[in-house]
Amino acid sequence: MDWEALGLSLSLGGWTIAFLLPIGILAGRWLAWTKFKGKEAVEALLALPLVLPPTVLGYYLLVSMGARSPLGQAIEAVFGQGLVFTFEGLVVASVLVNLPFAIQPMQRAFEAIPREVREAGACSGLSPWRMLLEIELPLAWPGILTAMVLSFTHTLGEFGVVLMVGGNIPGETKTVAVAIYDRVQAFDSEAAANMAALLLALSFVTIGISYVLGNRRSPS
Amino acid sequence: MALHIRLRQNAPIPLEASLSCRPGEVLAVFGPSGGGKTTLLRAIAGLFRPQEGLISCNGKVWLDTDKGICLPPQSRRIGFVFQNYALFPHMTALGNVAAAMGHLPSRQRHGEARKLLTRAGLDERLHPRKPAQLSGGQQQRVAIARALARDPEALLLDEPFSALDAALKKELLPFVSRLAHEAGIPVIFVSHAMDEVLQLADAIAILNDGRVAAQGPLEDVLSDIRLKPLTGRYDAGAVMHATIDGHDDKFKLTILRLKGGARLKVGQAQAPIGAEVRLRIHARDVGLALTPPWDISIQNILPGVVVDVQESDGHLADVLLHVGGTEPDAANHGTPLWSQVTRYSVSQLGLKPGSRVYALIKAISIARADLAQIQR
Repeated sequence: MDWEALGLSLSLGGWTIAFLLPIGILAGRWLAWTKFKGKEAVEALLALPLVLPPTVLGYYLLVSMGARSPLGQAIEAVFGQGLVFTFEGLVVASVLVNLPFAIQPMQRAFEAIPREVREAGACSGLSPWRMLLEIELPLAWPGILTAMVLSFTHTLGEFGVVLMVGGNIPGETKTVAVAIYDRVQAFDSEAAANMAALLLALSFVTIGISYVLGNRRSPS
Repeated sequence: MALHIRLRQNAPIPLEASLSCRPGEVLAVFGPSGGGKTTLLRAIAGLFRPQEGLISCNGKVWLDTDKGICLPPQSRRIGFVFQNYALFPHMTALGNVAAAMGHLPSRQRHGEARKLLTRAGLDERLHPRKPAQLSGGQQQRVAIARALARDPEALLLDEPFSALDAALKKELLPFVSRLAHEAGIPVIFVSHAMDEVLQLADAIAILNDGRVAAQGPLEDVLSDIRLKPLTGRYDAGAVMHATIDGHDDKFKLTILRLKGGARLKVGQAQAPIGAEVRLRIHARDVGLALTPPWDISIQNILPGVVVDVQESDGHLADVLLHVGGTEPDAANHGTPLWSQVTRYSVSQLGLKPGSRVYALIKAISIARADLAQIQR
């Protein structure tokens, strides 16, 4: 059992949803309530990670964040180090890959809030900030929770992008999913089986929790 | 102190309206569905921005498209009652009302909300319930309490009774009427049901295809037969003030005194003697005779004078008469009353302006929905 890899995976999942929570709320609300030209294009772009092979995504991230790209050079100039083959780079990649898992459930949740209820909030004198905290988030929270659980679980299992962007550096970019592959390659099937079972159990429990909470909310 | 509205736009919904509503006055915006009523109300609330317009309330400008002013709903002191109430589903009844009390310190909100809900007739046991656990009528009471919670300078109601069945509507109409008049602020409510208008409103604006076709005191507008295509063929009739003159408990009748002194028997009304009521008599329920008939079941035989005769292209004619005025100037002192008869009758009786006639009105033709006590 590679505990370091497990810790890294959980940490990556935690950082990913920490970034995705505000991003998802803002983007989900925006897409739920705003009509604009080219909205379908934006939605399609955000949904791309669902269908694109992780290696393709990983390749583009590698190229765009690499030391030879303008973006990579700018990052290196500001932070003193690049993103490729680092934990920070993994977080950036993971956030991008998980955008559809975070935004789509939140968008549906915000869409489900009746327009009149939001208008009633405005007519009751609630400021946009109070509207968000007292009306929108309490009504949309099952969707937000689903989004967080999906993103977290998906991050634990992400393999292709991690390998492309992060490589396989123990303690830095070697997550559980990569470690399993690593162990299989080394014919250490016992360690691979243990980690696979753990990942399976962890994913089942987190997804299960989201269903239990979702069902408890749905009758209202 | 009043609410002044002037709006104009061509698209997406044509709208042309110029309205005023005084504090303590209830203005009904009446008209067919899709006539722009709700859009007008939403523009007043700031939920919709018209192309051109000027809205001011209590001397404060809410909208002035020429100057680029358009305050959001939060900055307009309005109370809005939505058609389906739009209560906050995750909050209790009390929470819904307290949420709209942002102008009060937070520790005062619950106490004030409790008072307001109780005034709105919601039993204290129901205050902790969520909207889904309340009946339609109870939800409406919460919605009205929430609309008043902001201490608004104008109250707007969008078809507030359309989601209720007839029995509940009957129960809630007097309550809403009392609350609206007590509030002492301009109240505008949108409706396509004449019985609601009669019970609630003091003034009416008729909106058709986004244009205000007529406006003024209820009695004047609803007695104007030229507006019949808009007020509705079966709603055509005269609306008048009357005073409760007495009750006949044996036969369960109520006697009304009209302006000019004429008396009218109707089915027993729940209002004390001396109370002012508003009454509608449908034109098709009024028959005419040249001499007073004797052996007849009709109790209400009112002498009057024909003022106007309007013949339609078909078989019908509308006759405007004034009943119960002091002779010889009945036309100026009586109560206007419309009668719908056949053109054949007009010809047979030789009806023309100045003809002396007797209006025959069956007591039972005046239904309970046609009679409303006026809240002052």
